[in-house]
Amino acid sequence: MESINVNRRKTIINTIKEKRFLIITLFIISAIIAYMLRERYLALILCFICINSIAVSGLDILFGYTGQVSFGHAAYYAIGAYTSTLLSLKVGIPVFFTIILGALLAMLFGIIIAFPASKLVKHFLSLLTIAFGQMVYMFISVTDKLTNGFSGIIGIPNLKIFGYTFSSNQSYFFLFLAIVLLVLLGKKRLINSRVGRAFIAIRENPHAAAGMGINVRYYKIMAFAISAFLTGLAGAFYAHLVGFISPDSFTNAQSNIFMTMLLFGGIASLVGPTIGAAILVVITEIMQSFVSYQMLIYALFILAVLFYLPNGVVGIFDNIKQIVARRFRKKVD
Amino acid sequence: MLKLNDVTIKFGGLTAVNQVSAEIAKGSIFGLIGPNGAGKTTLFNIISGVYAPTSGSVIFNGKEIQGTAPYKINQLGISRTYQNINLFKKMSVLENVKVGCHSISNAGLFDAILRTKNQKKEEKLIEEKSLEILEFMDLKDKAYYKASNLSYGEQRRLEISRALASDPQLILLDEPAAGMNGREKEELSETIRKINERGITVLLVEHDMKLVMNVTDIICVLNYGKKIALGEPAYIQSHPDVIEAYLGGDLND
Repeated sequence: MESINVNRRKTIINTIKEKRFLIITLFIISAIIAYMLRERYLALILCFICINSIAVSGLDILFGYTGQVSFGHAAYYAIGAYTSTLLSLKVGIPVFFTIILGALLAMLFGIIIAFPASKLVKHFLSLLTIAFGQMVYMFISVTDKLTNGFSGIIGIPNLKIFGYTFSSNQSYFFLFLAIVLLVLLGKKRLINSRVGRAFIAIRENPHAAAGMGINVRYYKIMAFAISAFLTGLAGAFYAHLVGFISPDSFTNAQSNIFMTMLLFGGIASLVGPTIGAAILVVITEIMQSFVSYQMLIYALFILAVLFYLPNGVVGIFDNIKQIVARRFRKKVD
Repeated sequence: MLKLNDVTIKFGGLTAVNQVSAEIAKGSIFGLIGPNGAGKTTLFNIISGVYAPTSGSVIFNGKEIQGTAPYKINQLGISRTYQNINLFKKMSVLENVKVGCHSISNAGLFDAILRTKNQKKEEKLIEEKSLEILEFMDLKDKAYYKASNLSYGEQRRLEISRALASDPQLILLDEPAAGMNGREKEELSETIRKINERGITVLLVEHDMKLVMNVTDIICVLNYGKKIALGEPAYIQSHPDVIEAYLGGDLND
């Protein structure tokens, strides 16, 4: 009984410490954000961090939690971006709705891909997702009449909600920030639910998961749908934020960037995708003058993760926490 | 409760299970024994839906279930453990049992994201139920351990806990005593009886003779995929074919 009480005290102290740590971190982050918002360009970087964070969170639900790899997530990003762009520009549907429709169409494609993909594992699944990414890329590159091919589409209208037009990067940022927080909240709730447990069970051991009454295929498809929806949503946001899209933004390299962000930030963790997105977006911007070496830099990041950070940046925090906890335990003893 | 009618399965030229018929009465503890490679686990896999038999039928509560997908079999009320431990290693002990509750709960994606009233209620029930089962299986103080950090015997117990979580009518235990020491085995016999007292029918595959003879009501003996004897432990112990095929000598050593 006594040991339980000591344990409880420890956890209470730990949560207090954690809360303090969280408050300090939030304070620093808001200070940085406040500083960056003063400049248009820096605000744009913040927007990119948010957008990538949404897309990578989507990839995390698929790869991190159900263990289904995807090297073709740029496809959903493209579907979201192009659908929203074309519907708003050519059909004249209000942007708010086109963004949702873009995300929904990406989700639909996710489900279609998931039907064959849910039967594949490992390299077969990787190849299928790469192939799908290439197909979408080729499609938007060659359909000149619809997508204007490699010249891209310019003059994509801004988002308008209840008569308020988002015209500055700063205003977009606050919207995106709210959406990122919503996505993180939803993800947290999802992971700690019956569905989330089914996802993780499938990742850990699909045979045992089926033995426990989990319809493995159904949940694999569901993960694909959620993942494609979020990445499609991010794609649509990207199009309206930047105002210009072309196939160059949706190459295979983009899929690899999402994967690098996920692995570097921390797979199967709540804030890992956001941290990974933040670090890689900033580094990409700093390295702007070495664009041709971009993929080399990402490759180095992946190697760093493989050899030194198997759990990503989030893993470092966990390690520190463990060391602190161990020290603390020694003191108590 | 469960009836096997001439169940046969062939893998290429090999007949792993050959025309096995048996009936498992409701509320009984049924033992399935045989030498290595006799087809015990294969028969288990047929009942739990992993394999579809080449011919013959499996009838559960009057319904043919052969060839039904494993997840549906679980939902029908048959749950199982695995010979080579198949836990969700990175999940906590408690979460493993919670996954076992999948069949008896039904909150979906939107319930989870919106945290509906029903979902919260259901989560609370799942938590209470899982903790109750862990207490029953004497694992409650390890509830927040990672499954992979448990000892071997504890992992075996967790396998059973997880299988109990779906409120099964029939539980299939595939060599639950493998790798356990003498004391753990004794506790296991006790546990199997306690599970049976909960009204759950038990089908037990086990190598440990003492345990099987001790705990089962009826035993079926397989050899080379064929049923060679079926009866009460005392009858099996003295059955000449069984002694010849499997035991190779006196049981009462």
